[in-house]
Amino acid sequence: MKKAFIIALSFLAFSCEKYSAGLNIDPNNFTDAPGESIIGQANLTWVLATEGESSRMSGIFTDQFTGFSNQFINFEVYDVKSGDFDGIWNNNYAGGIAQTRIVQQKALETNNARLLGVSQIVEAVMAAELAALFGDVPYSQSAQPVDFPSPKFDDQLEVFAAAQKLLTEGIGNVGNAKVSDFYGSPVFVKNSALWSEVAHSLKARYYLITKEYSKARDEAKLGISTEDRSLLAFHSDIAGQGNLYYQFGIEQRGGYLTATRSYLRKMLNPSDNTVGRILFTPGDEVRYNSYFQGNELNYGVNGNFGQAKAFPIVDWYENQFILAETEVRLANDDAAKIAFNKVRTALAKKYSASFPEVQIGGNTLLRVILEEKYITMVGSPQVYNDVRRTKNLLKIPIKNNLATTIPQRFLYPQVEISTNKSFPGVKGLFVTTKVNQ
Amino acid sequence: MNLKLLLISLIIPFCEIYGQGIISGTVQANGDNFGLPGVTVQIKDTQNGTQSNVEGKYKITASKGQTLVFSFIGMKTKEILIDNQSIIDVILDEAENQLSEVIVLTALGLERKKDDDLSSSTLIDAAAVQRSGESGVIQGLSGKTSGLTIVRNSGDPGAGAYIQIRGQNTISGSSSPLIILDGVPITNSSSGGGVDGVVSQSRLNDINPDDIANVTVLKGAAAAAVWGTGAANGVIVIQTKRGNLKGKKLSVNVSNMTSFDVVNREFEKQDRFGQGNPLLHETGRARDAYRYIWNPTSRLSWGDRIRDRVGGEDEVRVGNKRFEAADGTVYFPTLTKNSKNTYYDVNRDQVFQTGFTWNKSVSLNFDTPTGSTFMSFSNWDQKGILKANSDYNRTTARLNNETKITDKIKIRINSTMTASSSNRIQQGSNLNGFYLGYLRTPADFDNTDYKGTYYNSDGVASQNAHRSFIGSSNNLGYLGEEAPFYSNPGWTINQQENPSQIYRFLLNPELNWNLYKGINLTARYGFDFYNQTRDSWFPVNSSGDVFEGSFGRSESTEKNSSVNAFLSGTHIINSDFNFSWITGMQFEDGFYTSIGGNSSIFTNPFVGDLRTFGNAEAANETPQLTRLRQRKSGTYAVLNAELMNQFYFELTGRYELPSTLTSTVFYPSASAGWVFTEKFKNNIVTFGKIRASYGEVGIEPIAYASQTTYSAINRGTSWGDVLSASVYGNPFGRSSNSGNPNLTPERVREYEIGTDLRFLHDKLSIGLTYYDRKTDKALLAVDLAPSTGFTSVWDNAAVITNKGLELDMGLRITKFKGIDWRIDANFSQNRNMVEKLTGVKSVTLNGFTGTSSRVVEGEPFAALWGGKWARDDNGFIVLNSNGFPEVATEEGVIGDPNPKWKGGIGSNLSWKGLTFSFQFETFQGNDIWAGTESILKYFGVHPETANEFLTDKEMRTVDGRIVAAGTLVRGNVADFGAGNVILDSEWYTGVGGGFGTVSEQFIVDGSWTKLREVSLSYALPQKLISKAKLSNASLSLSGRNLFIWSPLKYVDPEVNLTGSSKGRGLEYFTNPGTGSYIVTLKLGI
Repeated sequence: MKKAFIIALSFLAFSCEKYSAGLNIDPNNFTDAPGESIIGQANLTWVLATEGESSRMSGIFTDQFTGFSNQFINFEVYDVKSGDFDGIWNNNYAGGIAQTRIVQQKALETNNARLLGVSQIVEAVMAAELAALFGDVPYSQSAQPVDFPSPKFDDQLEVFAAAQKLLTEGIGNVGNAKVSDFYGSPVFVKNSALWSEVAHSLKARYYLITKEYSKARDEAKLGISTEDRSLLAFHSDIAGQGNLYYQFGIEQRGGYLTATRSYLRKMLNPSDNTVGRILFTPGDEVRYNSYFQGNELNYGVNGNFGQAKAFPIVDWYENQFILAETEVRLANDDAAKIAFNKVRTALAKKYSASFPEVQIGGNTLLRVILEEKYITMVGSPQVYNDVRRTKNLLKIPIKNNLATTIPQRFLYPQVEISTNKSFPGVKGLFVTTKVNQ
Repeated sequence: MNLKLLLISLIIPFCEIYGQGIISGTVQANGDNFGLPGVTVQIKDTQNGTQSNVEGKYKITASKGQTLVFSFIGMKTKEILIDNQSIIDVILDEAENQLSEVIVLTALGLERKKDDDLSSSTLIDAAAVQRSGESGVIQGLSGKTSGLTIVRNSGDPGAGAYIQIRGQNTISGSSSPLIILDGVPITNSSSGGGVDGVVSQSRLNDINPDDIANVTVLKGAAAAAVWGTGAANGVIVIQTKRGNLKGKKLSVNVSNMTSFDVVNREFEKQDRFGQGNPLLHETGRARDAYRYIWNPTSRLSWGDRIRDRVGGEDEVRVGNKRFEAADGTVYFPTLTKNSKNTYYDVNRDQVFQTGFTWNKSVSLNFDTPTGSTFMSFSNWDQKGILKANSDYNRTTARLNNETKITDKIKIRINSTMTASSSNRIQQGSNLNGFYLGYLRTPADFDNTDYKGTYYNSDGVASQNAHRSFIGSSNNLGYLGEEAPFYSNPGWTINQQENPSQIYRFLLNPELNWNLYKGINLTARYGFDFYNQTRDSWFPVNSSGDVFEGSFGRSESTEKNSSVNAFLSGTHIINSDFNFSWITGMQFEDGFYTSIGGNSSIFTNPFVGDLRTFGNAEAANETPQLTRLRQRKSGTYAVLNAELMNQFYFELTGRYELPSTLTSTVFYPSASAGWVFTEKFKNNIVTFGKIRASYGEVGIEPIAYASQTTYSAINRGTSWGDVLSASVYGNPFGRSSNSGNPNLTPERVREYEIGTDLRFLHDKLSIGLTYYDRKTDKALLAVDLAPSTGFTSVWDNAAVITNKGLELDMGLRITKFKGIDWRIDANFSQNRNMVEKLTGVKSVTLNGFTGTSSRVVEGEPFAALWGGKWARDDNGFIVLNSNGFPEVATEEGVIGDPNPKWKGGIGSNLSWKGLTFSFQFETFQGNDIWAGTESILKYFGVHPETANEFLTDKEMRTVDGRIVAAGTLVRGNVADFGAGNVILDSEWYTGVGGGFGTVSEQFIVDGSWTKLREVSLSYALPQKLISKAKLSNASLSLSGRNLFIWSPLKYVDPEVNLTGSSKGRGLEYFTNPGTGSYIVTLKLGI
């Protein structure tokens, strides 16, 4: 009897296979895409890395902004926890490096040097920005899930070195391709930006962070040569395309992030005498109104954080600031002044106001350059890199009464702590990263 | 009235008159001097019969030579031959084994005596379900049996319920038991269940509870094994009514229920301080810390002391700039806040009402010699406790028929149709959510006028302006300058719409064919189809990212069909040995599709009542399509044997192949039992059985998890700011979740031992079961180190165990001066543990970045997770130099939402026509994250934040200020271990409030006990109703969920933010729970 059952069962089981075969193919999602499309995802990731949470957190830590309400009150006093950095980390790895690796593989298969170059540049940024903010981070073993399920944490300096190498290769591959013609549009503003110049400016940025000032200067000289060649994130008033500050402050999290007591606001506010500027700048009044509206950021149509306002990813101003600072540090005050005064002239034009040129030199010039960079590059994580690198030369206020410095790094994120067996251990918020030791 | 005529006209043709003579008498129970009501008196071998009335009297027409059969549940049936008597008084003896006749349903929907059953299955009386006054079948089951957890998601009309048998077994699979209705599986999907949106419904609500005949809960794996994959969470077997009556050809039952719903618990709010903030927030100066200012652009209630205001009208600036409400009330910009008025009652009355439900149902039983028919029709019409757009209307029709075609062939068709529509209110973490805007409203703000026209300083009008206590940016919300930051609750319930419509159709024909002696073929087909339309409508000027208007609509269709055919045979070898067997095959086909879209940022804001697409730029019109197709085929066999009337054995095996797998899976199970009272009969233990079983069931991998996908991924942050790929050239990227082609089904293995005992002539019955259940290879999206390029991968990576004890007890104090009194109690304890979680510390089930419900190795399932205080090696909280605790850099487990034990106790007391019953249910030892309370502390709305005191000595605050003695402080004093410190606005708006990083401090004991129901009903005496040609009439008054005892304050401890999802123990601005007062009138012919 039992035997008969088993025979009957197995016979029926056999006939069942046909019934359910071939149905487990996803009818809702694609399973492949060309590299030319995927690079756009990496570009979006780059924009988010520059303009999103890193930017807001940097802005609070450097007191450009105030964490005013809800969860942002905690950020205001540096009360952050590992989970607050999950998004930033996920974005750069899963959204960035994972995608650029696929692009690179597909670019090699299709012999597309420009695509390869662009993906190398984006990947270098993803890695270098992580190193700048977090210190030692996985890179050499990253984005190879089968071979390295727990990627080791590379030394911060090695990551920067790898990024520099990748940028050099990228420059070799992109030739004189324009950003708007090759893989940059529509994520980036359509202008005259060249991938090669962008990459040189990035090299300068990362040499600056590693305090290799001479190399930084040399790269800056090859970097973004005019304002119109800046790399800017494109924004419009279409849903999902708005400036991220606007989206955050108006559409999603009103009141969280303001400039209520911010150092930057006090610095620019003509009616606030508590914080002065080193460099006399009448035009700051105009700039103040562009940046702020009362206690809030200016989200208006003409405001710096308006819905359709482009956001600088790496621009001519930054390049000039690097040039100016490195020249001072290399004791070429005149060259520094020339570079810096170009910025002042450009600002005067931009705001139709008075931004007098400087005549001084030496250490004061260095502070003046850093101060102007702190103001001009509002919202840029590079400002946070500068403040830490210069041991807070500008004397940005420390907002937690128990802290002695501003935070020296972003905390390793909970998502990586929980999963990576090679995780080297928690580092406190006030432990300096290797480049700043 | 017309109905009555109809009923009479229906019944007349069936009233056959025999002239032989009228026989009457009284029926009594042995040892009792009172008449026994409800005894069936039937003339043997005919369809004629009657019932005894409340006094135990009966009257029937019969002729000499016929036999009267007197039967009553719990009594021995008595037959009396009619000779020449015209009065026959009968005394019925109590049946020795009344409970031996209890029937349970097996997983295949076949009836089986409970005494022969080898599982822990329990039967629930349908009357309890119907008495509950709940719209859904399942909600009425809560507290009725051990091992079954039913939690109603919220008090919203039509809200679904979370159903769990024993403990949670699976991370990615469905947590709901398999629902078998009349032998075929039906859909019980729930939509929704995130931290925002509207409350989730459940497709089980589509079934009319009045149609249910009985419900059996199969808790163990062995009992469920014939269903293999899909039965891992147990099985609930539901049988609908059949035209099955005693001695009557036709009966009609009419029921009318009205229910009044009230909010069962509400938040307390402080009304001493107005909208505003400490001046400190603007100046940053320590001396301004306790200077509170009224500030209409602050969302806090940390403002000025209301009683210190001048009083009278506010000073306003009369000019162009103003808000004109629909009723003509004008609001100008306020210059000075003078008014001392507070508006909690006004604001409450703006939104809350007593909910009202009216349920009408008619059912008809009709018997012929060859078959029986049950028909029903019902309409449930419910208006919720919120004044607008919160309702549920359901109409059902059912036709069940059973027809004998020949002596050997019988066919049965069950069919039902449901049409329902509902409106629901936005809730949870949602700027447009009801409770969020309502509870955060300061005491001194009047929400009454929420809609009107805003005029700017040039006098230019903006129509449909939305007035709320808080505007966005620097706008004045109370003038409706632009879309506000939080929606006015009036706007939320009146202007936003979330309608949903469902049409459902269930059809299941069944053929029974007696092929040979003792061998039957049963073939069933099940067809379950529904179509659901859901809209979500936010008019222009709603809050948040929909402030320029948003309309979304989705239409989903789900179709599940199944074919199940089996042969069954029974063979009696001799009086000491018999066996039976079943062998069958089964095919299941499931198909789901959802199509819809969203229009946002309206280009034409004058939409009126039109809800359609096309009112936006192309980039803001987004279509959406999802499909799912799954099939499953299986063969199974069951072998039962009975030895010497006391030893029972059962073997089950199932082979199956689901479409998500490439090779077949086998699920075995075995059970054995011994009825030891056959051998050791005595007067104390009337019946005793011990049983043991082992079973395996499974959960198939989720569909399509084998592939890694590419899509146009939006890149954004957890705050909601996002770069939409679709407007940036629609680039495709690889998903951060990796597919895995090597997945296997999750395997649940369970041992179960138990005993069923009855004592003292069945007065006391006890069922006790211990189980040990283990899920191996539980599937989950395992977190990968993001540095690998993937953040997760599907993998069979967890081991989950559930061990527990279940006890059901019944005590019957029958026949004591006409009083029938019964007490039933149950107790369940389940120890749940995530034994292993490979390659990941935790998996989030649901919740927020800050606080979530997760799966963590070495912790119970769904453990609460969040920020904690830093602790030293000895477990003491680390304090900073200000004397305040420091925040730990890593998050961790902060609570366990699973109850340590739960139980229910109910009683039923009847005397003559009166019946009184009650039911308590309790959950003990479960944690809950009191999110709402934590946030109300931040806002300064919580009563705790309104305390004021003079400092008696110098103390520090969380931000390091030193407050001199003799300072008047709003807040409290605490000692964390380094002496007294001040908890003031900076504490509550910082680390000590709900937006702070430490959610540990808001985990509270969520234990509760509820008076689930209390009911008093009265069956009208026969002599009254017989004049109206009625066979029964009753009126009952019940209360449901009226009393709650719980350490958790202000909220119904049962509501769960994330609905019926696996994430448990989260409470955050969830729409409130309700209690009900119910009046039911039932009439029968």
